[in-house]
Amino acid sequence: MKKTIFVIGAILLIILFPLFVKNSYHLYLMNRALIHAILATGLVFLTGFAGQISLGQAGFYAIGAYSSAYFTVKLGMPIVVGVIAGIVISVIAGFLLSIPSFKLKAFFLSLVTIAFGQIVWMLVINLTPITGGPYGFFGIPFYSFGGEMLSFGQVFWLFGGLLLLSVFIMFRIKHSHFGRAMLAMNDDDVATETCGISTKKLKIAAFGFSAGLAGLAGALYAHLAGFLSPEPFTFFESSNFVAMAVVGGLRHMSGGVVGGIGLTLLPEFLRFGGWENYYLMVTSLIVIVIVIFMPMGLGPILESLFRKVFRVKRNNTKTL
Amino acid sequence: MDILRTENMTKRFGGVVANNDLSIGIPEGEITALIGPNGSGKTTFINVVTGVHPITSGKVYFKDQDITGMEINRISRLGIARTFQKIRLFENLSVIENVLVARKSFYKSGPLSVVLGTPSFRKEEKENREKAMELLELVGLEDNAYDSPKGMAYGLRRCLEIARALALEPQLIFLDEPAAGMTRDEFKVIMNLMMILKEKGITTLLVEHTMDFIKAVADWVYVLNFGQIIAKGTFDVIEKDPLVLKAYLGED
Repeated sequence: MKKTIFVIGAILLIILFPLFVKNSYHLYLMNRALIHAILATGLVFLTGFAGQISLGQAGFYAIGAYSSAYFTVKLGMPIVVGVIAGIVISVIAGFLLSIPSFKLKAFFLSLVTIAFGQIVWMLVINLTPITGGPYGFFGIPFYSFGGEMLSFGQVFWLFGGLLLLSVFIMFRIKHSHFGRAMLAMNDDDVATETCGISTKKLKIAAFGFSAGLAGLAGALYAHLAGFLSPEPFTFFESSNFVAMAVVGGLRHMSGGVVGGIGLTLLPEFLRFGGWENYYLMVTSLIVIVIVIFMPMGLGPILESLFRKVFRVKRNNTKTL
Repeated sequence: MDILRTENMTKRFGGVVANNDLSIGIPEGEITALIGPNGSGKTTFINVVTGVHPITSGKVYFKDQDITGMEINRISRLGIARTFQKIRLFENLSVIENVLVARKSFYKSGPLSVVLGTPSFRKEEKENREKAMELLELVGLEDNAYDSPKGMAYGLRRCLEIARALALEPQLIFLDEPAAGMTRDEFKVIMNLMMILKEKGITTLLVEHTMDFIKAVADWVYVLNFGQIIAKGTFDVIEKDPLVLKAYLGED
């Protein structure tokens, strides 16, 4: 019951939004927000569910973006193929990054993932024949269908659909033997192993899934922007992605969506007269306040508000 | 017939020899107790055999298969389950989900059937939930199935850990101090459970300090001191062994 209301509500929102919002900057911004929501959803899966840390998510974002750009521009493939290539290459990189997590936890694992992000960033700058380096990668095709360029509104529908699909896949996996095993590993990995579960395989899968979503987000960004430069792929962006997942709610299904959209739009709301120089600082302050006073994130708070408004009872037969 | 054998098993932590050249056999289908003073290497024995601690030297055989150095999850899937001296539950999962975690290796559905929600996956999920519920009934936790284990009484948490271990459908189960800190009623539940395990043909290795408990349930007793076996036999024999008395009570 609760599930159906959520799904119908989300679909309606996605369908209606572009019909009412006509300002193309606002639509572009919302499209960026959806991309961030997809990426942050992957982080919620990796960190909130499987208990692993990645401060190098911008690395996968870059791999997805540049792979798709390369496949479409240099190899002349259609955008669909480019995006799939971006996902696949990211997933492979994710599998590789999971290897250090077999032995490392917490601080040490975060250091390794930061290093991974830095390596990818250096490759973006220095592999000029593929990435265009600091000069940038130009002429990346925009979304089109049957020879017609899509409007920002239609792109919004596309991204919204992909976001819904990502959340749906994550939901199904969470409520299965795989999801339970990941949540168990998050609590206690030795006890999980004694339940006959290979935590190595779970870590490989979790890193692969979150890298895949980051790769998808990167590829979607490449074709939205039409131009890639190294700036959006720095460590600063990686930490921003983590902030999105935390603010939205690391352990909550909607965490990535709420945090990704919220933290993309928040600075825009703060960018008003006379405050232009401070809006990023205020954004960070708001993040700090949320983390301190609402450690569960905004997702669970929105959910309980939603329950009060629609008087939906908690379905406790599924999960806590 | 011994279901598990160790050959010259040694475990060192730096300079401390926790298990010294142990060659032990655990007879199939019976309840064997491992006793000894604090720090004599009982828990270490369980940790090494189940793969939680890497072995220093020696061999471990389960049903004549060499399991030395295997990953914990593989050893568990072969049919060796365990509980922990300091209870280790999945605190963020519900009671029934704790048991279901240990059912994972019985699922055949891959990620694709999970995402598509195929009928075979739904059936599998239903069957495993029923199985988990049966185990919760066995330990008397059926009414708490959807609660969080967080605030539960100590004895109930113990029972949940045992139910989770049984969900692996093990042939051999290690129980590390199952009766420690239990009330008299909880104690009876555990005692009854031990008898059920025996009826089901599950071999049990018990680490315990409560002598009444061991006397009541154990078929065989091994006594460890400073990482070595100093006595073995039935409880009545062990009880009178001078070496054992010395280890527990000291000289004279």
